[in-house]
Amino acid sequence: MEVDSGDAVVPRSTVTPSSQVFNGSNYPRIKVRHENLCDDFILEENHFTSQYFPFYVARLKTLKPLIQKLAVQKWGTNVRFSSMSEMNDKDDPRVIIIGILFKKMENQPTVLKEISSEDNQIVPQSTADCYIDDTDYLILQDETENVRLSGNISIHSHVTGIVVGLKGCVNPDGNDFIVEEICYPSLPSPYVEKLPPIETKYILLLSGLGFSKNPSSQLCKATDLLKSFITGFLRPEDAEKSQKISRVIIAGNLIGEKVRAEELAKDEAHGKPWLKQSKPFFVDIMEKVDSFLVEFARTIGVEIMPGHTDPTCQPLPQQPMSPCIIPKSSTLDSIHCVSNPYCGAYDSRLFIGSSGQNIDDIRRFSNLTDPIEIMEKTVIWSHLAPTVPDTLPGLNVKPDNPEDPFILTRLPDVYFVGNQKEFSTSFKEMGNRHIRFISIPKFETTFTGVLLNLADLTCEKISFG
Amino acid sequence: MDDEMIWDDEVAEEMEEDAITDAVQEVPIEVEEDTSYVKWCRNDAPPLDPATTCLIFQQIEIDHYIGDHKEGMPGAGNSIGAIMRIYGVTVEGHSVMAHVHGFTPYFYIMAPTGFKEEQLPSFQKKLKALALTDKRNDAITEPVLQIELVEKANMYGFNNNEKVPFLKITVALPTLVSSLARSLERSGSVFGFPSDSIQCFESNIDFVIRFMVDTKVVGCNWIELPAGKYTVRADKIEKFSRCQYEVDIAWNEFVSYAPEDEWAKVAPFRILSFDIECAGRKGIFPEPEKDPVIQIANMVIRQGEKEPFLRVIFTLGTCAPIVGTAVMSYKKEEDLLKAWADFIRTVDPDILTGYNIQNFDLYYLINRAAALKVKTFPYLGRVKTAISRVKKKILQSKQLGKRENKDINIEGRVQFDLLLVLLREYKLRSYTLNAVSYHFLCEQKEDVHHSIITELQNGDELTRRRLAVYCCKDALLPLRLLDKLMCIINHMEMARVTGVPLSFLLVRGQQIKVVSQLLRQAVDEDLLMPAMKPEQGDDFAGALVIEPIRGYYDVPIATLDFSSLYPSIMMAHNLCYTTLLRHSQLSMMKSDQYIKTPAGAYFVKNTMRKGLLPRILEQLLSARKKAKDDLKKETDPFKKKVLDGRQLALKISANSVYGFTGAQVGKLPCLEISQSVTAFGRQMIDQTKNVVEKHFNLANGYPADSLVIYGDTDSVMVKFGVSTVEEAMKLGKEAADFVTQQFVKPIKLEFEKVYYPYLLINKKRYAGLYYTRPDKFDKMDCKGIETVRRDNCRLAASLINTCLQKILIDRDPNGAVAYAQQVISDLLCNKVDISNLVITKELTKTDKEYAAKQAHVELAHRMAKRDAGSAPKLGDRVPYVIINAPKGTAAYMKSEDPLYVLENNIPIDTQYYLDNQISKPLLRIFEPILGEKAESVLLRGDHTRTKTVVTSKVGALAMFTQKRNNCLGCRTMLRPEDEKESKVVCKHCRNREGELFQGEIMKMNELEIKFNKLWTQCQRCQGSLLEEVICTANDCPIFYMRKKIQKEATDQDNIIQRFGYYKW
Repeated sequence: MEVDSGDAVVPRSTVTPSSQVFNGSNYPRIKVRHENLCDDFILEENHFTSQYFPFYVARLKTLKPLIQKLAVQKWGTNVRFSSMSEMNDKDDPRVIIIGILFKKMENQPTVLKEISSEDNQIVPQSTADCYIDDTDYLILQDETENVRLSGNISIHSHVTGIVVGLKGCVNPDGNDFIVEEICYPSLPSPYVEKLPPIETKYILLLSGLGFSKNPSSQLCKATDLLKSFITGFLRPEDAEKSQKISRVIIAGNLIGEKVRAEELAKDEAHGKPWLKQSKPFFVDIMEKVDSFLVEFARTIGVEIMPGHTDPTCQPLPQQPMSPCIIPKSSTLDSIHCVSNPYCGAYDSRLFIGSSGQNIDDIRRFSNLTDPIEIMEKTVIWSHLAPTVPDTLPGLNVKPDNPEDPFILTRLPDVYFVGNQKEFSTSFKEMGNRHIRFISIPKFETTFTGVLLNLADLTCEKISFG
Repeated sequence: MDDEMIWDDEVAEEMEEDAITDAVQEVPIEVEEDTSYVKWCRNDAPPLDPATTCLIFQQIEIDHYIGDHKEGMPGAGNSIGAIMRIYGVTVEGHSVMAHVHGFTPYFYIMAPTGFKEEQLPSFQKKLKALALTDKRNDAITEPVLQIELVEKANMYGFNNNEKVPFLKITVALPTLVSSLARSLERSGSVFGFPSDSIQCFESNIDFVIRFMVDTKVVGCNWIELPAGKYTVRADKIEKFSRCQYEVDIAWNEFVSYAPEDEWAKVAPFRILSFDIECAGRKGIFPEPEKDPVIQIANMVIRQGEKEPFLRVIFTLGTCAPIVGTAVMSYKKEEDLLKAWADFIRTVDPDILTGYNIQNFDLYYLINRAAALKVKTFPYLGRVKTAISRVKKKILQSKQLGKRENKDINIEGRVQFDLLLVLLREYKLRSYTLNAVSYHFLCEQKEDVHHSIITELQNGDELTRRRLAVYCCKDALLPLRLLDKLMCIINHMEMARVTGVPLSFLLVRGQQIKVVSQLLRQAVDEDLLMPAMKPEQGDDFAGALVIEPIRGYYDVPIATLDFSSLYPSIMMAHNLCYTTLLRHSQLSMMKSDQYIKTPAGAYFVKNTMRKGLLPRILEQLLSARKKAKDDLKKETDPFKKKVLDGRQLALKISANSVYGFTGAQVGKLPCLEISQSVTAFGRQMIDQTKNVVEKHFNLANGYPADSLVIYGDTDSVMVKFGVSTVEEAMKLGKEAADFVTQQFVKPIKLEFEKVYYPYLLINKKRYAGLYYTRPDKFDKMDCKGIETVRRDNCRLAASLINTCLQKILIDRDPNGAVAYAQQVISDLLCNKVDISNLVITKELTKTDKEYAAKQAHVELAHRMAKRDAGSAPKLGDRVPYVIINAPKGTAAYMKSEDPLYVLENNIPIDTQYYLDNQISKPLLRIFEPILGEKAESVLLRGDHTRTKTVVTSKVGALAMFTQKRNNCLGCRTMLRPEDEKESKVVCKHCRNREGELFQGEIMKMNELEIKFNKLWTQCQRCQGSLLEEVICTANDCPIFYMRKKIQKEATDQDNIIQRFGYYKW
């Protein structure tokens, strides 16, 4: 764990002239104590030879005792726990079974549909916003048994990969299990029991800066405004607020969302080794990003999470971007490339967040649409990204000692998700703790960021458009 | 011509006892009914009062047995005789067996000239003596029951509509028909016939068909036994069968309903699908004498329902429970087999199905039970005393080639093997259950290798459970496919239309269907079918093909088709056995009473006699028209299925009549008919071409001179010289009507479709976009181009297909060229997925039987040396790829196991694929477009210059090569001192490190996503997230991909790792 005790504002002397004061005013930038808690998401090696099942086995193994704990609280000890293969007892039909949900979906895109029978090439299918269908159904799985579910369980507010406990009984006339009630894992404890009181200070949350080769003038203007705002070259009334911003988190997508598709379409030599290869389109864009960051991070600490458009691995958890991509700014001490999802503490307030993939994927495979609602669900499920690796690519786990890094092990104080359509937020008590949920809008289209007050966890949007 | 018109003629059907089954007749034993599983039984059948209620059921199977005469029933008293058994199901789902008494076998001979009624008794006496000379007939006291003098006519040849005396010889047993007929033909002179001139009639008809024809019963129709006409066997001792109702009735007392209106319905038949698993020894295909049956999965469904109502698995050894499935575990294999046979008797299925059950599962079970001496096992049928035995049967046809089938008797249950259905009706690349499921359901089936099956069996109750789940899936899949393809309904309709029992459709050839229809028609007209002996003859000229004017036509091409050409020729010209004139008869005819066909045969016109075949065809085609009309009106989806099945059956039947007359080793070949039909066809095509070109031209005021660019069998392609589909359609319709006037009714030329654009490659090879409406095309239609041939690799087919799509649909010939170049480059750069390069061949014989060395046989040998357990066995399909080898290596030595190739990075002989698999079909489709330069553009361009050289991990040189890192920027070798600075780039490229990294990351991203897609698919396919994927279905398109991606992603990850891992 890397503890960074508030000296983030100090730029490295080789790049910028040493200056401890906030540019453009006489106020020093407010400090915050930051801890990077991403260790669980850092995978130093990849295992492309192992399969995915150990991942699910680990998930079930970790969450099962937590469900048992809550189920006993909820339903008492009268109902027996049963493995799915032994639940057929005529005298005592009502049981609690625990397993992983698997949603059988008619419309789910599959690689088999992509490969048409005669033409063995993978052609991407048209992507839909949502793949749910009336014929979908849920199956509960444990290490040995599968059972189709019916009864009191909402098919479309669940997705593949969630671990649940179900009270109910086997349908005597069919092959299904009739659910009466559902139980999720008991929630973990918070990072610190009691939050220490602090003065008002802000964290600026941004996502989807959307750099590209030819950005719109509006976006250029907004990016400039943002830069000026942080570096303090603004009106004095803004400067005061700006001075209270202690840290910036960029939740993914430095590169614009449509860039990859557009650039690949333009690149005639792509996949044609007999033609001269042009350099990857990333390069020019990342140069721009690099120049932006050099100025932007001169006076403030920045956590940069990668998103699905950025040049690092694609599967979750996405690993921190390599410094060689941003050679100039990476020499600054204030730049921290972190993983996605990200976990870190600011003055003991625990932040957990992602660049959006986990939430967007759940939206595609359920009837949940509101990002805040989905985030709340993932807390209830105790799992940040249940659809990894089924419909959302996930990095392979160590085959010898598999762990599921997405299980929620600490209750966050702030839970954010990047690259959403618009800003929204809620403050909700979960497991004796109030959690601030934030959906950060894409900067690329909304020119908006979110300011979070660390002292009372209130938040507001801040526009640069 | 329609695809359905593939015609076969079986050459010989012979039966021989399988050596395994004991030749000694076992004395049947009494098998007690097991009543412990009530849930499995049919619902209780209420008692039946034969005096007041009728019994109505749908029959599904008819057979006969030899039994004593029953009191009160017709037939010869005090003697044994043939008794028919009709099995069926009532509308409530109760099973029925009816004994039908008094129907006797018979045949005809032509009476000698001057034969008198008074001679009958002495003739009968002589015939009896003749019959009794055959030792086999000793048991029969009265072999010849009756001889009558009847007025009939021979159907073969025109006979002036005159009847002549025939002798109808009725005998006691069906077997006597052929034996007596043979004896008669040999020793005709005994009876005062001029020697060797006795011609028997209808002596080669199956007894069941004879019965069905005479009682007007067609396959799967409804039968009513009227009240007061039948008796019930209620007593257990009295009952022969395990059916709920067993009744007796006289053969002329029951009512047979034609399958129309109300009687088109289908009873709730019980269909049981099952699958067995055997624990084989390493490297040897399971043998029933040695290897145990370890599991049998069963799914039972009622016809018309969606889900099975019974799922039962029998396992050897304990097995953890499976939700919704009854698990029956046994310690001893004998008990398992015994219990399964009990299960079959209790469930009492009407139809048994599965995948390859006839040649594997059933055969294996029966022989295994015999090896273990499970005495009660082989009583699987509905007749209590009948023992199921395995026989070999060889069926040869043009359609399927020579096939050896196992024939197993299970009385009263129809064996409906899905594999046999598919083999007959669909032309596929592969017939494994996996391939079939992918083809029709777009789903992959988990496939577990034999060696893993034994492992799972030897594990614990959980591993056996895993196996059981897999086995259950294999039992369920045939049911889903039957439903999807509507096999049962379509076959029932075919049985109804052609009048043969359902079981005949799968195990017998096409001819029996025509024979059945011909007989039904002949009875009404007092015509008799001669029993001909098969003779080999010469082939005759086929259909006419107008020499194609090859090219790529970017204008609409109208296609004019003769609808049902061959049937309508036969109807138009009254071509039939009954109308055929011999040369000697010509002198007696007036010239307007007959025609001479272009093949030089003579037939009388229908004013003289209307032929049988034209009459049958008329009925079939008008019935089809009616079915199609009803189909349009019908709203109920199930009834729609029935009607659609019927119209298809009718169409196929109509087309097969022509083939029947041309089948030279068939029951009743008549080359005069078949040759005339094709000759007329040729003439008509030619005439159409002339008429169209003479009429539709500038001189007659049309937009342009029309040109027939191609014509084949029953269609001509016309270029009218117009530029829109709409105009072409208008002219097409006009031309069709105009030409139709030139021909005799009911021959009709129809305008069907316009191709635009149209790529005409050669005879029977063309492709085009198919329009039936002017606004939007229906499909891309290709004939003779896609190489469905199983011994080609998939790359060829997919390449050709995509190129055609680009040419025809996108109208982008340049794009097609670019695509072809891309694929060729990918091939040479080793980027083509190996599953596209896999060639598969079946290991059909032991290597001693193969004359020449063959690639797949050699490979099987080499694989056995590496690992005997997983090596292909006899009957397996061996997949292989062609690998690079030193010059002069024999072709058969260049085959290699694709998995081994992937694991060891063995270079593929890409040039082989380019030269032997791709280039020919590719040049063929591009030559009409690119002309002479096709070869240089496609096969010798820049795209063929970059090749990826793969270094093998095995082989002579592998141990001497040392791997050193290259600079990713300029490919120079990195010296050790460079590597201290960076493992990735040399010092000159240092400033490009970021750029290079991003390039590698981009490549990595594609691989990561692909890896995820492939492996999660396998997880989903096996239906479990928490279990390891053990599927080894090597004909699954992603099987090799998922292996290759592991390697590619690992390699790419190693490159990424060279950049070092950065801690922030």
